[in-house]
Amino acid sequence: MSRVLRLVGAFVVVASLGAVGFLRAAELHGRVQELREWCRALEMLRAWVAHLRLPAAEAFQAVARTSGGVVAGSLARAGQLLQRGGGLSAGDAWRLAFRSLRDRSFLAAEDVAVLEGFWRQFGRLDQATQLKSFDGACESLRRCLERALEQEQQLSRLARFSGVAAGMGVVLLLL
Amino acid sequence: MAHPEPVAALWRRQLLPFLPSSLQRAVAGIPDALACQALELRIRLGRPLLLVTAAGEVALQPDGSPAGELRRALHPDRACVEAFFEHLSGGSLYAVEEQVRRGYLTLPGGHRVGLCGRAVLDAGGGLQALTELSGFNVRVARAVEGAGRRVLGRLLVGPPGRRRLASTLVLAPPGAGKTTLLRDLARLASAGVPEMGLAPCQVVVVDERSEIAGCWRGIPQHDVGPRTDVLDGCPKAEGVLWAVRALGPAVLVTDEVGTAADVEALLRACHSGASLVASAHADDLAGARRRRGLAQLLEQGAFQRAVVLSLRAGPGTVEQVEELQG
Repeated sequence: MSRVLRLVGAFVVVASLGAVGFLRAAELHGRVQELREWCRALEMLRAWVAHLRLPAAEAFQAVARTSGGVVAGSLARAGQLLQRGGGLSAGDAWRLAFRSLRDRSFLAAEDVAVLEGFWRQFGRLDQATQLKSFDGACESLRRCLERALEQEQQLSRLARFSGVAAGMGVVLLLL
Repeated sequence: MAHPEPVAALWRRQLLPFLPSSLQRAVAGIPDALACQALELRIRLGRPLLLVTAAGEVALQPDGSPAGELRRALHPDRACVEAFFEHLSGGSLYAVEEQVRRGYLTLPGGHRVGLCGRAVLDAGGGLQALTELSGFNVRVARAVEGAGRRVLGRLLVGPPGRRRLASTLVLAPPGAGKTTLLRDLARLASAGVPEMGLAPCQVVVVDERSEIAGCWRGIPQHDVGPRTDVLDGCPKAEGVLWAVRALGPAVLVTDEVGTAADVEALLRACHSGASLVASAHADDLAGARRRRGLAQLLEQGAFQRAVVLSLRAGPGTVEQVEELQG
């Protein structure tokens, strides 16, 4: 009986620490996916601003309809907040919307800083400067994406392996 | 049948969502009797908030009541002025850049907000942008339905049953009701007036300054009729030719003509068969003939009627309806 319990305990420890490793790997992958989605969304938003000069509320909704996950959620919510009025700037609306979805986002602090810097100025610039701001933000996000990809390649397998290995190590120590 | 919303409530309801909280409180608190008479609301950085009526100006306290003396009035600060502009632009300066460059923004209801600030010039000395906004003139829009009926009978030509609006030039000094008359004539021509033998027809309004139809996000905020297309924000000279080429109007309405380009476009539009209804700044017909562009239009028979308005008995006073040789 005690041997069976030991086996179950060992399995639970290995599975739990393994899951932590897999979750960390999923986070790394999620960050890459989300950064790709943000790059795409900003490029689309840039097109709406450059060619149609669509007001922020409508542009956010339009881009949200063709995006997914946190990107779609935060833009749709920001669009709704702007349409409701109440004196929010586009940047404030995005910040509020993103904050409500922050726990579902995989972005690192440096990614969020790039986006916050961009949204802080959004809607307060003339068109030419606004487009430059888009270009700058897209470039910064692409650099974040490159780093995220590197991290994913380097750490993803390691995180999965080290989780399982740590679990096995703990089991061996306890046995 | 629902009663129409009183003017006092309507313009404030349309304006309030765009105002920062301190101004909201002041505007919401304006007594109804005063709000009914509002022509303009003057918001200036660090200076008293003023409501302009036909009887004069009234300084407003923070709660909207008349201040009596200027120093007791609400003095909007920098944050208030910036927030107002943020709301006006919908958080999208790039989207209203052209309008800002022209000096005004249009709000729902057709109310216009004139802007004042520091001009930024381009290399050629032209106005590139307006920054450090320091003042706003909110002009309260009012459609006066019926303004056109008073003169419509004298503006119709053609045999009974096939009557149409004559090409008409409306002349008046600023604030005398030119735009109001144009708007109502567009509405009447578009809807038709069977009792006067005027059949409904296709109307195009070339509304360079968004004053006639007061479009907000593409939707006319004033009733310009069911068969009316509005070319909003389009320069007159280009808009007139575009309308003739693409929209086939029976009546073409535009305001404030006078430049050489406007004149050339209107003369070309004359040959399309559309009736032209336009306005210009002039106190009377003689004054119009002294202006080169208008004189050319009148000499070449672009108009069959001239309506002269004045402020003598209030805005919209019809001084004269003159039959011209078309």
